[in-house]
Amino acid sequence: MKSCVLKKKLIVLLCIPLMFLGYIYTQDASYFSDIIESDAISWEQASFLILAGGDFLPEDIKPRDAWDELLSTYWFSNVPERESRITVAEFCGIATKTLDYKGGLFYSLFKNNRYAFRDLRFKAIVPAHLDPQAKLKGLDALSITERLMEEVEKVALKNKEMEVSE
Amino acid sequence: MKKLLISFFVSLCFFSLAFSFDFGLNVYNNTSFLKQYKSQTVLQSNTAALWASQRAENYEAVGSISYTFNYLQTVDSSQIDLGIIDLDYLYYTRYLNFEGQVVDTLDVQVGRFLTSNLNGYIFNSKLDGLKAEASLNNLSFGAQILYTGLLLNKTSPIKMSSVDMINAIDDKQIFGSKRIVYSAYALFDELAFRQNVSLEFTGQNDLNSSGEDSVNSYYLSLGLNGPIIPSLDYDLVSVYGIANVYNTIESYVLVDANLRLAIPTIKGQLSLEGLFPFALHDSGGSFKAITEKPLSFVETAITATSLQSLTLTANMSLSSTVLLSAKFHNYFSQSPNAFSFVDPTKEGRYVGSELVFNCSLIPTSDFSLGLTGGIMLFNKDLVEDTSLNPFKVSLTASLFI
Repeated sequence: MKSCVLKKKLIVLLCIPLMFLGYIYTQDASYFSDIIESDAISWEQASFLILAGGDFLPEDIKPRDAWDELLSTYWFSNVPERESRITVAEFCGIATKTLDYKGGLFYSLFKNNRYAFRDLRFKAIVPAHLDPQAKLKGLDALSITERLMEEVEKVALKNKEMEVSE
Repeated sequence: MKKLLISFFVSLCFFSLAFSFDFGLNVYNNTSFLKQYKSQTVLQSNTAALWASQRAENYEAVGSISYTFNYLQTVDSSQIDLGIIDLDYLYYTRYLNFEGQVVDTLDVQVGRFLTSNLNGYIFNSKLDGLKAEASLNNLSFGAQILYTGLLLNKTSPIKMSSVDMINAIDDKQIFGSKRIVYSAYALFDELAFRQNVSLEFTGQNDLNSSGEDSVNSYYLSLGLNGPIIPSLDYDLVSVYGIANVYNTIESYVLVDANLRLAIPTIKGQLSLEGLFPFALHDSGGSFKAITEKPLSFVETAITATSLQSLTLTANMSLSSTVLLSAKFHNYFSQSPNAFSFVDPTKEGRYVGSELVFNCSLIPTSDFSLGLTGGIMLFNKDLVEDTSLNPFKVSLTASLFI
């Protein structure tokens, strides 16, 4: 049973970078490298990273259309400019909503950027040195997305294990 | 009024977006039951702390104000302490970078902040003042000058002289003991063989009274720490203190030796610590610290400098949310007069042992629970009135909004 769980975890861990790699080859590779090299990513780039990482983006869709996919969720009361720079807290907020992260007490109640950031920093998904209002680097965004997906998968596996044992 | 409140919150939101401003409310509850000799006490302490912070790359401004009220229930009486509003922190820190110049970095902190001397045995409290720390390669050095007279009398931990003791129980006194505390230190990081060395001078001067009633003290500390083998490290601290107590010169030494063994397989740690404060002067007595560092969970009178102790501690993480720890303290008297519980007419130094267990549950970023239980096993040959071994159970809950 334990080895089965370990194998599943290994598969999940291998799948996450493969999803990104898949997009690099199938989509515009330079678009992805622009994100990684960016010192302050835009809302559009952030939406691509999160949706591609979460496997929510159909393969035939262009990276730039990820933004429209995100807008179709109607999560925004005030729609930001697609080229405006996203902050660390805003990225945490949108990533947790998209990847259906089950957070702490106040995150579950309010589902806002502040508690999303605080939860992810508590779980060491967001590095401690990052300021919530700072602009987000592409590499940091990639790292946060990967770790968040690992966390979401870990929780999903744990829930499945509990269901099996019951 | 409603419009005013709405505009206040809207402006606060814009301010928070623009300047990395954050604020929140932390609520703490501590309920403890203490069985001591012939008495039983239930103490409930409730604190709400409102905080705000503004951070940027090169500065940080933090403020926190708290309200605490206590409820005390004994066998035959109950008491509600309506408590006080206290300023916990109000400081501004500036981080300056001088890469390639005289120093690499310089951090300057001003206001009310939590501070201590390097090892925490001389003072460890929130205090008002100025602190500066600079670094150059593997050398860090700093200095701080602090004033204790703005702490509220009810919460001031500074009780060094008889004047301090009398003022502490005087309800008319708003502020606590007035003293100037200062320290200067140097830290050599990985000086040789990955060993760190620290050197510090600390002093305090009594501003409450002069002459016969005053207590002035000065300390020199030397610290060594580093790894012995990859999973085993040590911490060695020695402090020499000299105090002018009511025009009498007293001198003390405190030695603290700590060995820590990391056990990665259980995400745990084992540590053995020996803490030996003793007086060099003839009259006995115990090491005179500026603020006392609590050591015992059950008996609050036992502090790091009041008794010598040998402690074995085990910590482990059951998961990322559950932490367990156990402590086994053994206490020894420094001299027959050093501790109030010890009968000076009886011979022997072993005062007793204490066993403490703690379980902390931190399920989310906004909530934590802690359960601690401890029992004191006094040496009946040395300590008077040990008809029952005192024990204490405490439950703490914290909510971070």
